[in-house]
Amino acid sequence: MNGTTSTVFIVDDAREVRLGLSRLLAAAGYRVRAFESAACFLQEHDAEAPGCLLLDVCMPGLSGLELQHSLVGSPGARPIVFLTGRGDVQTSVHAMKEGAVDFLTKPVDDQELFAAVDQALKRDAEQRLERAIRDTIQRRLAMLTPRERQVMAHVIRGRLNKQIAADLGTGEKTVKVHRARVMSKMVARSVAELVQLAARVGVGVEPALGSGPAAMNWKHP
Amino acid sequence: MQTLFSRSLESGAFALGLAAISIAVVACWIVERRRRLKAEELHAASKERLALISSIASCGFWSWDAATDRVWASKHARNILALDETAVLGGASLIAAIHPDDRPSVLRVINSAGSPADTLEMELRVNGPGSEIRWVTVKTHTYRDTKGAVQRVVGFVVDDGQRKRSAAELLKMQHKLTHFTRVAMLGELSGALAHELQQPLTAILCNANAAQLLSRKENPNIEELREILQEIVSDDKHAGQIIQRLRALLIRGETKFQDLEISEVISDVLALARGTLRERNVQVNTRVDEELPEVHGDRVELQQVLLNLLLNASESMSGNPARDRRIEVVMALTDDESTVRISVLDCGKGIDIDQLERVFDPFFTTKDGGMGLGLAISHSIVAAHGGRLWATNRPDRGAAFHFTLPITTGKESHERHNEYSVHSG
Repeated sequence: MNGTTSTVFIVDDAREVRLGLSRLLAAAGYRVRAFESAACFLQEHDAEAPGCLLLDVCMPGLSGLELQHSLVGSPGARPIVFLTGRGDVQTSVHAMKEGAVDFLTKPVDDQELFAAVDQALKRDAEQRLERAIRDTIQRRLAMLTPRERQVMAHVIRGRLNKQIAADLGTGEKTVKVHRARVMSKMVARSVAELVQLAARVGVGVEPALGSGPAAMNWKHP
Repeated sequence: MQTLFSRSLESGAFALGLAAISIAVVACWIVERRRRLKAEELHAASKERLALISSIASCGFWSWDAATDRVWASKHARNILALDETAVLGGASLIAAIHPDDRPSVLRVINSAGSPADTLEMELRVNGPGSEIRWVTVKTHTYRDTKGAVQRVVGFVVDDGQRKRSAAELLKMQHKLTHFTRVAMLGELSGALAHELQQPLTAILCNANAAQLLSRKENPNIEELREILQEIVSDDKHAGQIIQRLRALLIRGETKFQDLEISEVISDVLALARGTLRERNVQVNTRVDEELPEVHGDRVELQQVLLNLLLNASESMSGNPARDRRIEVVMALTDDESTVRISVLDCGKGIDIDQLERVFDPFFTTKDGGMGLGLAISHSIVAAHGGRLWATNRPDRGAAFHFTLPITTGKESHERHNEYSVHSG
């Protein structure tokens, strides 16, 4: 059972399968939308709507694997559970490499189906949360002035105001003011938090490749 | 002295005459003996030859003399007619050898033959040894005198059993081969068919599981449950149809000619091959003349021909881009309105000009792992239906295979009648 507003998007060209899967998942409490082809799905589905894909591998026109491939990296990407008529190892390996949650063989066991769909929906929720967090951080970062960004880059490297001022050729007081603005715009209560936020969006320090735990020779920008 | 002389002269002449006569007699005797020996030799040789021909052709000779009502019959003739080798035979013995059911018609033919020197040929049954019934062919020639009265009838009789048996044997082999190639062809479809079968099975399981979940609720929606059950029933029937279609082609049944709608045969085949054609990205369009008359044929064998042509067509387009693989099936009445022509058109690589005829040769194949029997068998199936199968290249690109089938005309049937036929001439 899934209490959220997530939807299971079914794409299968066989009418009876579409109907059966829809009915089963609906009876189990899932929200369901079914499409008769990959093209229909691409045309009609809402990338913003949370949910996962339940996808038939072998379809005329755009196949399940082709749809998966075209979604990778796009805003419409979402976790996929594949359904297949034949347990083809090569196809399943390919699908899993491209990030499929599961690869189920028809006729599918209901408990296996629910488990796979639950996992896919959970992954979708996690991914959406992660995306939301990153978006927030990015929005906050976008509010920083170029000078504030410079100061932040030094702060997350653990440098002191005095050092930063010397590097940037400005006064220590000025640096202090910039640092306070960075902390407030980024909604960070400590330098440690700021470092974490920056790391989430790939802004930060690259770990030193030097030897020993005490290697602290940060690269200078 | 003179008398003595003349007497002795007389007696000398007498002796001489006697000797001459004796020599003549002996010579005659020798000549006659040699002639007789020669005749006997010839007779023996011709008898030998007759026996040889008899045994090779497995036919027997006989003749009937009207004046004496005596029948002479060769050893083979007696064997075939199950008559005693030494018995003295009359006309009645010959008539008695004929199967009672055929006897009246034979008598009718004999008695109605009017003109002199009639030649007759009949296929009829005779009583073999025990209760065995034999099919034989009898040819006769009747000699008459100047007034037209029958003098003599000579004839020969052939046991058709051997010929019929080997023809039946051959037919059985052909039937087996036809079945064998059909099964091999179905092997090509098996993957897609298994896939197709999984759809209704998946749907049935989903629906049944859904019904279980719904029925556990406090106020189960009876209407929804009813719908689910209805769906299960129809999915199950669908699965049954797939198996039924496959089974019809898998089993080796008797050839059964009946009146058929050819468009129905086509749609059965398309249903069977749908999955395979889909996997190969092949689209099929069907064009049927309105009110196409029925054809006379064996459903399974015609399905085999169509399946063969469809699979070949899809194979020939394997080099085309996925969106460029189209087959057109056209069914139309021919101009003379006596046959229906079915054409399977593809847009593949076509056929080399010098191979247009050869494609129907047994073991001719362009496929990897192909047996080269499909088209040869299809060709003979169509021929057995009284039609023709041939290949052409389309003007723009691709190949076309056409075959004709005679349309059904009233109650006429192509089945062989189990009656003897009489040709007089």
